[in-house]
Amino acid sequence: MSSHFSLKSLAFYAVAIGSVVTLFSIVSAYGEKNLKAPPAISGLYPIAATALPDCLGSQSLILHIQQSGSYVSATLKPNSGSESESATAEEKHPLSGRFTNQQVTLRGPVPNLPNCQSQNSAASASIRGQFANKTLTGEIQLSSVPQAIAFTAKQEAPKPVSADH
Amino acid sequence: MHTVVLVLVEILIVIGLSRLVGAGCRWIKQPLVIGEIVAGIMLGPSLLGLIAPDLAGALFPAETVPFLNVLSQVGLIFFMFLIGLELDPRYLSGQLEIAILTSHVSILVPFSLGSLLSLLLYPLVSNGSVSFTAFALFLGAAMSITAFPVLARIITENNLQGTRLGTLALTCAAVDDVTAWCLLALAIAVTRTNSMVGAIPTIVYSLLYIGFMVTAGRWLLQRLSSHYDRAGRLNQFVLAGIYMAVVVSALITEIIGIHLIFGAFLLGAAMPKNPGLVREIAQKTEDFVLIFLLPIFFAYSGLRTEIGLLNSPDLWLLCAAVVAVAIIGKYCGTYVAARVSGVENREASALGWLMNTRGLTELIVLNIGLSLGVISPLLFTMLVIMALVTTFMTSPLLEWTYPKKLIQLDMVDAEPTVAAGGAADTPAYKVLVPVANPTTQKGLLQLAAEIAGTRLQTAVVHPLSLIQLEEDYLFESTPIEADRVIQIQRQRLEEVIQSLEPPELRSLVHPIVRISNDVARTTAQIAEIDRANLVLVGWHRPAFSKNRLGGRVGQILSTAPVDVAVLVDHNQLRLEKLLVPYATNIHDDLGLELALRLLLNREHRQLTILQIAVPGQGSSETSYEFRSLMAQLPVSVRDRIDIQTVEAANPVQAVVTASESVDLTIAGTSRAWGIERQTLGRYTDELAIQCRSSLLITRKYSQITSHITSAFADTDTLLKPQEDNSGVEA
Repeated sequence: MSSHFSLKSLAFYAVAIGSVVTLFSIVSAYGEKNLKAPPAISGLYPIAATALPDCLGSQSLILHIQQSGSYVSATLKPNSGSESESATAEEKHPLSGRFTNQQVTLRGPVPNLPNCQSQNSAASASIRGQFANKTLTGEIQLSSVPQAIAFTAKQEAPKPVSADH
Repeated sequence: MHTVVLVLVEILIVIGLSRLVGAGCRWIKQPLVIGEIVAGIMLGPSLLGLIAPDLAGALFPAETVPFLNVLSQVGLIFFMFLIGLELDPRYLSGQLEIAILTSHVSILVPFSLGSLLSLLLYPLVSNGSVSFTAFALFLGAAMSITAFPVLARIITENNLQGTRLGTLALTCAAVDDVTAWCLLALAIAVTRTNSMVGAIPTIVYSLLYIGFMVTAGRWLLQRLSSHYDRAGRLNQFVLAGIYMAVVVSALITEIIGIHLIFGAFLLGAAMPKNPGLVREIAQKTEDFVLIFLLPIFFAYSGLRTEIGLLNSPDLWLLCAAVVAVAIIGKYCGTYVAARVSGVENREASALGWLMNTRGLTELIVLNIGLSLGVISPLLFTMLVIMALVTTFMTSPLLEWTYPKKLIQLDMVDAEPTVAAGGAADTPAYKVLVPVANPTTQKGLLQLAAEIAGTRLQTAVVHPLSLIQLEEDYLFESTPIEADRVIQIQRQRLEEVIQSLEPPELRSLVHPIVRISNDVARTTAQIAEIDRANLVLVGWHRPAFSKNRLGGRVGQILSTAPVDVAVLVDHNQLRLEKLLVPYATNIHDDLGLELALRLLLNREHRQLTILQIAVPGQGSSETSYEFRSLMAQLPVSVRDRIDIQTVEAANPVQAVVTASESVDLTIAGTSRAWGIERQTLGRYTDELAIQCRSSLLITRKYSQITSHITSAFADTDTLLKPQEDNSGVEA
């Protein structure tokens, strides 16, 4: 045990731990200064009923985006009003895409909009948007509807279903 | 459906599936934890949500998730308490200098590589609300983890706990564990305040609390230990106090700003390691926590793991990079440090793979990271895959670098195999005796010692006691506890050995006690490694069974690559009159060889060799080998052998009749005696049922013709000095 605290060992630990702390400080300083992660875009985006296609009736939509940096996935579904409370991180999001330079692109099926599916295939959608000031502005292209649907939606933080831990 | 009912249904599914997949993993020699993690992932969006989204939605609706979370947190708190409880300073006793150096380097290297990897990952998989420092610190901590509990079980399972590699790995993992938790606490503090400076108050409070626990807390717990020593047991009132202390400690660390789990861990670690107290707390706590609550944690974690997020080749490449950095960092750090410290190549390599075990501890860290938002769902999934891969690969890579055969060889070599007469050279004749219950198998040991004897070659008898452990994380399978069980078994064996007569036989007997999950296979392996000449197995006559030589004895008979003898004991300790029904085949030759050994080792023993002539087929001729062997035997031995030939239509009945007047009948596994070798007694072990004396069934391993004479070729020279001493003329 005594040999463990010999000068040689202590010098080794000082050098080893010192080098790692130095390396971490350099990496950390470099990262903080030069690396920019995309802004937080996760959340719920309620899309008002105005200008929505007939297949939705009078229903408004909600876009739930889950973000992993520049990789995003999302679910587009009718806004039942209680969505903001039940949105969960455990939900599987069928739309997937990227978020780079404030631009969001999402593509994939929209199984929650059965009325909007075309005769031969399941409903799918592609979404493009610009994110600024916690607002997403863009358009949704549903496979069964020829015209793109323009939208502007404000970001709402989903109430976490789970506790903090 | 009512939420509580739904949660209970979920728990049923979770426990059932995790046990099922866990059992599957045990079958493929993987730790139970792998199965439980996989079961959790299967219930989440990665499998159930993918193939049956409606069913997944109905079974695990959002409103039940908070309940699962609360249950999993409670489970986690008590699990961390158990881990702390298990962390015994005795693990730090072996090769401390090498262990501290190795474990520190094995943290520093993956931590540094993790920090560097965060330069690539941060812009891709994190977002602006997380500071780079917190992200890098967390990723570094996640890369540095070694799961002490899983590692400890792998070590016990491989019987490594007493070896240099085992003690080194345990010490490293224990040091790693404590260091990694400190690192994680720092990462959490930095994440919550989003800066190093902001985390300083949390760090100071944490240090103060640790200081409090190791002084005042430990003083209080010491009093608890003294109370336990006086009372001799834990009553519910005291246990309630301990559980309340666990929760209070968890709450304090949560308020400080680190995490609930640290308080629970700290209390467990500060608990005095009074063996009785620790065992009783662990036994009273672990079953419910490990069977009921921990699978819920895995399920909750699995619900958050979405492998589908890795939906492009570049993401799989990133995932591969994460796995590679984790493995390379840990392996290289450990390997280089161990080599520098003088550990030999194979052990250093095995240590590198062992330290890569991340298992459950990693999952705990990742869930904290995801909840705090410091790692994104995508990175969480990559790191879960990394935890699974690193845990899964440990056992096969350990087997590859340090095969079980070599481990057992090292251990067998380490056993004190002092030969008869005190000579230290390798014994020429070795008998391996699998013993389940030493107190009821004294007759078996006595027979083994008599066969080995002190008059022929140098010989040794190894009573082999294999202990099967049931569960992965149970306290009983921790290395220290397993060692305790081994010591108890060794003590019981020693008591039986000391009762063997005559006393000079006792020095021949040297027990081997091991942990094993497959008794028959391990017996066969040890027999091969130990180069045993004979495996002697005991068999009690079951009251109702058609397959007398089936089960474990049957497995040993069919798998052991050496000669095997099975004793069907009639509780007769006398071995004066022996009977060998002899029909000239290799198994009977072995029977005769053992009988002659017994005869040569004791002066007044009598042997009857019974040859059966079937009426109408003429008298059976003895072989040339048999005749020359008889001629070769000393007169004093030959005089005690009575060769009888009887005519009988039913050879088995003739043997049964002859067995009435002897103490032990020795018969080969031949059809002639009703003992079918191939079927191992499934329907023809008539002799085993009807024999009037104890029965020793012999099976020669080598199928080639036996050279029985060679076994006693140098009998004269071996016997002469002994017989001169005893005054018996050759």
